[in-house]
Amino acid sequence: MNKSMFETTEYTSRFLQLSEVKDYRQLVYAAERMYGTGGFGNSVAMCTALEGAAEVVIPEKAQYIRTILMELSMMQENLLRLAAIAETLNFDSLSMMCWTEREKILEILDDLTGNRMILSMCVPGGVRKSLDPEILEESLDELNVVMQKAETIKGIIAEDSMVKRRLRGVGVLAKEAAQGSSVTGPGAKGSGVDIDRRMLGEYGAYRNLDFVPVTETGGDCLARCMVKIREVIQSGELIRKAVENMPEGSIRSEMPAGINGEWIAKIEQPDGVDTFYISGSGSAFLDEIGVRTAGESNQKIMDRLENVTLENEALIRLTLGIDSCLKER
Amino acid sequence: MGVMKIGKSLMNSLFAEPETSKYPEGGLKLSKASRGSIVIDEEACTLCRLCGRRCPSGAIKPDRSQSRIMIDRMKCLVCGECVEECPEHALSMAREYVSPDPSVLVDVYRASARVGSDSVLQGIEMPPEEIVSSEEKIPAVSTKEVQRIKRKKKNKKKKKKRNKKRNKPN
Repeated sequence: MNKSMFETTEYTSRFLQLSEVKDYRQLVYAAERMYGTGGFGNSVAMCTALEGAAEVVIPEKAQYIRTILMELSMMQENLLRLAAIAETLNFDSLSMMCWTEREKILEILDDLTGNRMILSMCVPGGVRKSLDPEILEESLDELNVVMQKAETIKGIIAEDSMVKRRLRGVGVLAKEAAQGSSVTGPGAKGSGVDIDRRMLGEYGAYRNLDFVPVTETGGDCLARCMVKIREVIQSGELIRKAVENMPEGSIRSEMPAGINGEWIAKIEQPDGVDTFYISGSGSAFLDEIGVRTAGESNQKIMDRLENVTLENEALIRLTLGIDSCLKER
Repeated sequence: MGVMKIGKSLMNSLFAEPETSKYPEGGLKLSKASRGSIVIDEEACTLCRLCGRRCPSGAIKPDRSQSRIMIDRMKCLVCGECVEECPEHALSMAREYVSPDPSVLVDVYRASARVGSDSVLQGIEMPPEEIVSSEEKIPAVSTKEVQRIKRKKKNKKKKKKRNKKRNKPN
């Protein structure tokens, strides 16, 4: 069986259908709405692909703003997933702790951009508006409080006996199996494979903020949860670095009227790598669009896992990021 | 130790304020960078229709023949594309929240239309029948393909009717 690279689900194809009547600037908003809880990554992927195809270099400051917003939305998404995992464990107080911290991050996003989840900030050629430095400083103080709480949550996941009993040794993915498969995100990082699209510096200002991807060696559900909470803490540090190093200058460069060329953009998201492919032949309407979300590529390793039982299936799917009800909207 | 921990977190959660606000009772708290809603300066608008062309959701619809602009508040994403595009700076974002009224989905504004000779219409209040209500929906943007499909469907229906008529006498 030779499956095509871009398998589409019913909901994603609705976006593809929309691409027939909307031009490329309008499509960025449609891409952002494909994914309910944090579409900013999708809009960054779409814009990166468009800029790559049109051979436009966007200003440095716009890259930094994209990085800050991207990390904030990754933080809230990781916390949302941890809250869902804790709820599956029937550990309600941990779940509520995660929801509370997520609410604070959503308020920070609201103060910075004017929207909570679907930000409408990323446009082809840069960002819509620059971030107010005073509000940025205030939100950094709020972020410190979130980071302290994240350390507490990390301690609970690492030490609590109930969490350990349910998660340790469940759905083990060996390092060799992870390397030879299409798994990305916490599934790969939890098994000790340090792949991270941010390290390549294709998008954002990650090249200037030196960091090492979070990895764990367990390969089980506990290791994947630890990757998620450690990524929250890492995102906070990256935001602080990005705010310190933010350059001055313009935030937008001009885009041509039509797109001529093709490009593939791959963006690191909390579940793994999202792929966007676009191609155009000189007009404002694109010829082809392909979308492959992380959930689809992660789904194919379910048969390589060890110690999978019916009662643990929900936990395994949540930790690996195979949740098509949250994705592919 | 365990009891101390439980007691501490219990006291914290008993006396702490809730993170979320009760929306209709507590009132709306606008954020520092709130985008609010789109406002039209009706005097400055020349009905160039650039805003309608740029809008990603088709929420803003300038109508040159009747010299008016319609905004569907439920469709509007408040992205700001139209504000950036407007050459006359007639559109702006006001930092206030317009609560969507389910009875009237489309707000109608009267543009001055300095371009044409329709300026006679200026200052006359619009009769209530002309205001678009929720029942009267604005047709969506139809491409040539959509129109073709519609025509095919119509033809099919006609064929069916014809066949029925033919079959009846038998």
